[in-house]
Amino acid sequence: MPIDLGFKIARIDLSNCQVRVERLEADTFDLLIGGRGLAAKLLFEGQPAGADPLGPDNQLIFATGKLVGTPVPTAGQTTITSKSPATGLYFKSNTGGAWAKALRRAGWDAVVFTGVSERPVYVTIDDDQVEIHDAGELWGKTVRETEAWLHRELRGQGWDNATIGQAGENLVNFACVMTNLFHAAGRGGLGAVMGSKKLKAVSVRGTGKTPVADPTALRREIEAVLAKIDGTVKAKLYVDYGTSATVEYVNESWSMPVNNFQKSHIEDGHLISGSYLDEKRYMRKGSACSACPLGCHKYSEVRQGVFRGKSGGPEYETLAALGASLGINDVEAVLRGNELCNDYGMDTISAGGAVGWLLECVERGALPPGAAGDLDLSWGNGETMVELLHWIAHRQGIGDLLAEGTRIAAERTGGDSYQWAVQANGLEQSRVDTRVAKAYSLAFAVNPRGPDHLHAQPMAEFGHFPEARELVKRILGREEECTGTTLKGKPELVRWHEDMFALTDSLGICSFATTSSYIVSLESLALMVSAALGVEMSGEELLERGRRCVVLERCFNLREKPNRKDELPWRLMNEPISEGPLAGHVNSAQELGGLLRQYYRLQGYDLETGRPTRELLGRLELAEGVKGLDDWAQTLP
Amino acid sequence: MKKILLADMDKCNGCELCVDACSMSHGGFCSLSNSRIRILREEPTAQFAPLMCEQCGEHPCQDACPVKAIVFDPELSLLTVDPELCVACGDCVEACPYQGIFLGEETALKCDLCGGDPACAGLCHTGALRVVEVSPQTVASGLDRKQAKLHFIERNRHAH
Ligand code: SF4
Ligand code: SF4
Ligand code: SF4
Repeated sequence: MPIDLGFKIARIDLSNCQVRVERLEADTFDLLIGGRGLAAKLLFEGQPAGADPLGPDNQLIFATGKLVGTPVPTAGQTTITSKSPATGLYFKSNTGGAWAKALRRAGWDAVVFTGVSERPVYVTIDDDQVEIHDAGELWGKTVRETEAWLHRELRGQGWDNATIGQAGENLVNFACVMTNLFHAAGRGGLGAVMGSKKLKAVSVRGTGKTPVADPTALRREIEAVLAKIDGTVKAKLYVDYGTSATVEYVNESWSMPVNNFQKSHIEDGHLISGSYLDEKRYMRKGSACSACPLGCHKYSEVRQGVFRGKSGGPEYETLAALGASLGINDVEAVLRGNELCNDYGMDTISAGGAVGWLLECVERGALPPGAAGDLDLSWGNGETMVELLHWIAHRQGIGDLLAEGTRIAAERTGGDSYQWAVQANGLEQSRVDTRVAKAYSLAFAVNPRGPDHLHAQPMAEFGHFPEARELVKRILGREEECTGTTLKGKPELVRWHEDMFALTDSLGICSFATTSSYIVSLESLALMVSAALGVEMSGEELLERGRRCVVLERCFNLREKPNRKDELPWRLMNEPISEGPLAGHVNSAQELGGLLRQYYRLQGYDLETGRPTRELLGRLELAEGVKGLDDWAQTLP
Repeated sequence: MKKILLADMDKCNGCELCVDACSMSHGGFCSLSNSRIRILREEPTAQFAPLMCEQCGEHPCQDACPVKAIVFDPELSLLTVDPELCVACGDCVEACPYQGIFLGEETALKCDLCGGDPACAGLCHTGALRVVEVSPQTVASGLDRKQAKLHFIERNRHAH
């Protein structure tokens, strides 16, 4: 069967209930591969600069890559792209589950929502039938209730749903979109964009076929990838514990953000670690995304007590954000918080960041101790955290302020409170202490979303695993840079990881396979692209397509906000780590400036402003491939 | 030696690599419509059951078939569907208690062990799917699993 490298896109205008089908030719695949790259193009071309993130002009784009639907390991990712209400800038957020595969099987590469519906609706995509239905009954329901309702209404198996909970409905700036119940497109408030459109759910059923160019060759290469898992340390950790495996390590090396990044180590940190969750049988086997042999997505349960319940997860970021960052090492409270965030559809990183900011404001007197009624606003209180999550999702009491995210909350509160908002460009930082991870610091600063780990995850800089050291050696030609605190070689590392990450997202596979467990190498990726899609491209040619996506996303942001800066949260730039063996490290303006200049030089950006040049856009063939880009680029150096 | 495909629900994580492997090896494309194995999903509890022919001794599928299209393959020592004879009436699908036989586009679809080189087990990394030789031990351990699967199917029956 020939492989169709063109794209079929459904454009759904919720203001007037119109559905339009659009086709793009295979030259878009050649330019940007699909998935995240395709969505970046659609976002740039499809909306005016300055569109209100919560208004009708903002597009909410669900896209998947061409490998989705084949058994290429981890090919089950959905990329959701939009302009974020938290940052006012470009935002993509990925989610797993089985939704992406359903969309591909239904024959679509992307769905673009525009407009704002008058009344709550949900949309069904049943192969090529797209319908908009009344969702009056669903409004106000949690994610779990919404899934159950859809399961009954649509009669069972075969449907995969993307939903929002109350946080999305109430326009919480860090509401997420959930797929298949427990998988989150977590960051950037894309759930609020969905809520602003009054879109409660998108349910997909696909019964079509995904052709494969060379099944025999594909099966051979997939078996080779699978055979690597057991011998690869990081991959094994994902299989056994998911991302929670990292907690203990980060805490023991004194780089865990504790009490809102004031401290670096939490007493008895093993109580919130993956091995403890496993040993005490809180965590059960995984629930894998489509085609994923790692199954890092776990499932956990608290059997008794006030925090009783079950849910998907927890991830490292959640254990750190709702646990250590708030001084909490009561794992049952964290699991309860995790469940609430899943059920309300809310990002655990930003929710934890907002609560941490509040606690510090009270600690330092910027807000009164009674800021949240009777709640005890001191560090380490699990019940307070759980209660505040309810308040945020419903915008109740101080929860209304916290729901805006820490940048806005601090602007409204004034004084020094901005110093404790551990955010940059409107996004709360992931629970990574970039003061001792210099590749991460650069990657976070240039990330178009803001300071987080999901546009480049240069974990290799620590050199913890043999595979990581090999990768560093491959990129730099030497391996002495395998520590977090050295500066040398970091811009090159970041650049490679950004390109690889964008390529990974554009093909619809999971970054854990390529940039963190390393079971899928660039060569193996090229082989699988050839076997699955019949496309002959070298690894370097594939990476270049990833780079185009990175540059295009930067252009979108500069068009929105010409003076946007590559920066990190105030605290990490101004307060050195205060304790432990890594005390004294900081991300100073001078250090970050140096890294940025080297990075700009590698990218071919203007060295002073970090803007892409017209020459670069021409050389990357973006100027001709993306409508409107060249006109905008007239303003560039 | 007679071989049998065994599924362990407790290990299955619902990745469906087996489903795509099966259809890919039986036609060069991935699709539910061409797969001899499917996953019954119970997402709120993160439980998944691979559904495929259990090679049960009673084989009600064969008895139900009005045109005798389900025939014994002596080489593989299992029942397979003869596509020339099958009229796709679906009676076998109704009859199988394990929901292990499916209606494809033109004929019923039943596991044929890929002629001896099972694609699904090759891509199942959790170890939930294994091909084993039939012995008194494997038959005994298979019985418990079959029972658990029947309960799971019953619990999720409304979903169909
Ligand atoms: S490949 Fe294995 S783990 Fe994955 S769905 Fe199939 S039986 Fe379950
Ligand atoms: S398809 Fe069902 S009824 Fe037929 S042999 Fe297999 S398990 Fe038994
Ligand atoms: S053994 Fe072969 S035919 Fe049987 S379910 Fe597995 S892949 Fe399909």
